[in-house]
Amino acid sequence: MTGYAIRRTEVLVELRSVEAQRGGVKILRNVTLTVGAGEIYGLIGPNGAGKTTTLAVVVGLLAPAAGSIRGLGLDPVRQAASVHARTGIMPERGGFYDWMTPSEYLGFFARLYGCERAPDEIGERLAQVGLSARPDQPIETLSHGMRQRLGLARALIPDPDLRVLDEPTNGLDPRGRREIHALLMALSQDRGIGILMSTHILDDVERLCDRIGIIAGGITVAEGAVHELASIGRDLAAPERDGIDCYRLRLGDRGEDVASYGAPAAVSLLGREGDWCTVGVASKDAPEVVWRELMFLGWPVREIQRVDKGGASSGLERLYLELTKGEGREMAA
Amino acid sequence: MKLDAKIQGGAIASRQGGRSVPYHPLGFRGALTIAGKESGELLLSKRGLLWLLLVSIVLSAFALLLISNTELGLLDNAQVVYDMIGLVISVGALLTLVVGADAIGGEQERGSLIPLLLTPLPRSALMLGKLGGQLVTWAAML
Repeated sequence: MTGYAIRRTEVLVELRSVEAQRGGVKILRNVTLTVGAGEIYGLIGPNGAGKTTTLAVVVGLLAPAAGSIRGLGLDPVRQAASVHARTGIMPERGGFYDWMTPSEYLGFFARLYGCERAPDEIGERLAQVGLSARPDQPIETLSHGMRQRLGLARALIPDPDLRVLDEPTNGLDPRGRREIHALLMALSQDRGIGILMSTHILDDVERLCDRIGIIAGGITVAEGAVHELASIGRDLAAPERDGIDCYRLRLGDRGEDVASYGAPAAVSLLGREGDWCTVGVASKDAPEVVWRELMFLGWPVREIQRVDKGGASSGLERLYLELTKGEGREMAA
Repeated sequence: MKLDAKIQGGAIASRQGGRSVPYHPLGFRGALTIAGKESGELLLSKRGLLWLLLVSIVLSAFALLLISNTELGLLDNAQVVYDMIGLVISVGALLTLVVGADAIGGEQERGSLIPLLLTPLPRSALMLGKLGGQLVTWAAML
């Protein structure tokens, strides 16, 4: 086997004023971000803001129409194989082979990465993501959360310098989310691996990320350290949110993982603090109907409080709402 | 409102040691891996097994017909064997085409193509593996 001579660099990913389009539609209009080694970078933004497209550009699946991009010091489009060899990637869609078992699946990808993994090493990867009890169970029998864990295990198969994760905690139960948080932080801190992750869960960002970029309408509208941006958010005046009413929900003991329960289209999860979470509900919808739908989906709602517009629970949330104001109306529609 | 927060770049940790990534640039082993996966998927999936069962029944019935039917029985044994071989090859190829038609498109629809494209495997090796898998499946059907 031949090792590629790859230039080592502290900055793992660098996008400057990147534009990209899909199917003739311009998705990214001006995206800028920088991910360093040992850093967890969160890419946040409303649905359709361009988070997944940005990640596609980073890993070389989509060539940018304009701007510059470097991944691990290389051009991800022209030197895709070299970039992929050093990058663990978890795409938005799992795309598993249902007829395989998790062990077989990870073994298959290990061979594609040119790393023959011993069975105990595969088992170790499965244990890291909490799947050690089901190594030989067909993937078709795994739940959504289990598949999510398997997708993460696949991203752990190579021994990379960079991990690119598209909504890694989506669909995980509360304990699973905590475990994945701990795993990602350990990878970042102990092994100096850079992690670029997209998410729409601000709680993940606040717990995990060193720096974040907020994307709205294909444009990076803010980038910086989490505490810096949260500080800016706290200083903002209460934002207007036309068309959206805000409520605080007190949740039962299962309430930590409300994001995994799913939500009606009219509801957007704005933030969470302790037992309380803040949600936005489209004004045109009757709240009673929305609460019934939430209960039906398994939300352990114990108490509901209407909050004033701008009742964001954290500075980061307030900043996010301010910067994605136009996008919010689109989401609620 | 556009905020332009200052980028904090000073806290970037230094990487710990260099790791060489084992990688096979020719991709032949990768192509074999893909071929193994493809043939396994085609032959072990419910759809593949169903097709195999179906073709076995059809060919068995046809063979029985050739032997038992008086008019067809006029053919000599060598001719029957030649006919059967031709039939098996062509039907096998047809069935391989049918079950392998979604080798790329089906993977794309199911979202499983992207993880393959994100490995260091060259795309030529991926295609080679896909074709190899079809050939193995054809051979198995024969």
